[in-house]
Amino acid sequence: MNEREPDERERREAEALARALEGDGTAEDIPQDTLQAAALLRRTAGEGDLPADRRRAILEQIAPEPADRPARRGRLRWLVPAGTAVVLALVVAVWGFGQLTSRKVAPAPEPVRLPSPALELLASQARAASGSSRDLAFLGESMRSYRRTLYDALAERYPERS
Amino acid sequence: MPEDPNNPARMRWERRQLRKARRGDRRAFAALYEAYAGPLYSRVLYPRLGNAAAAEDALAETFQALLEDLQRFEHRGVSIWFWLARVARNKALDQHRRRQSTGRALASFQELVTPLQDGPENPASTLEQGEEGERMRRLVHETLDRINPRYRQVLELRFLRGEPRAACAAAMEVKLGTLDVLVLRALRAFRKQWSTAIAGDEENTS
Repeated sequence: MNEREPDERERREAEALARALEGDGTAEDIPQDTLQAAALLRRTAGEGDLPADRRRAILEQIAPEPADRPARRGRLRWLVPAGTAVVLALVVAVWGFGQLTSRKVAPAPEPVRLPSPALELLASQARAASGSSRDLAFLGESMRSYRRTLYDALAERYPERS
Repeated sequence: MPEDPNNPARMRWERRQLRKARRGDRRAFAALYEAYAGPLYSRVLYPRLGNAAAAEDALAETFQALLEDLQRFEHRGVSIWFWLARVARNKALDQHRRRQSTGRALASFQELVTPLQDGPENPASTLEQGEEGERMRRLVHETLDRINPRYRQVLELRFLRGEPRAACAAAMEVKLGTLDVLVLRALRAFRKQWSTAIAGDEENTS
């Protein structure tokens, strides 16, 4: 096909169209009829559909994904140690209260059962009351023995604090 | 997306999402966005702007407007789609007004595809969009078949395969300046045949 030579006007239009097709729309004499046809052809080639990545990018531009999720996590991060501290404090408080309460309600410790004196000791005491000196020596020995037994029983019930 | 944007179940879903979005639930807003961003872009914005960057900006502005009007927005028993489509058309007009300052090449080819759509006001189901896209592709190829083979070749290279200008010039064995003229003439020839193809298709389908 032999192309006829373009005149000056057609050449100017062709140049303006070429620039416009590259995206430069500043030229005054862009032939709109041809630009429309070009856009239709490009639409046919799939350019007129919004790609998924661009769709997401535009949404992000209009309504950004709230940065508050990580920020919220950051803001709430103090809750972890604070919560732990509160729980620990509660545990200590409950334990302490329990201790106090248990002291109040615990039954009083039973008094120590002192060993009963032997019958011989009681008899010896009775004889000493009647004035026999031989019985007094026996009484002294029996009393020492009884006192040891008594002190041992007390020491066992109330051990010495170190 | 349901076939009918005014489907009662859809409306209830929209109302629920709007209510949640008003309370600051981002997921609800994102759900509305996911439901309508695609159709708004492909059926309302791109055909009016013919430029991906401009269509994306207008889409962002449309949903920004929804976000700003969320508290005042009243669901009046019709799908939010219609409100979004109206705002999107206005945003597309704004883009055209700002064309000189942004330096973007914008071209609305809405009038070329309007006969293929059952109305830009309808988001259409995925199936309908697929059918519509298939019909458009078929008509484009029929139109290409009707124009000069050399024009067809350059249009396929440049727009359907998306080859760069220099690669097209090499493939067509011409200089860059000559390629530009060839593209201009090929697009005009295509445009002329497109109307004929549309008219023929409408006759066949009616």
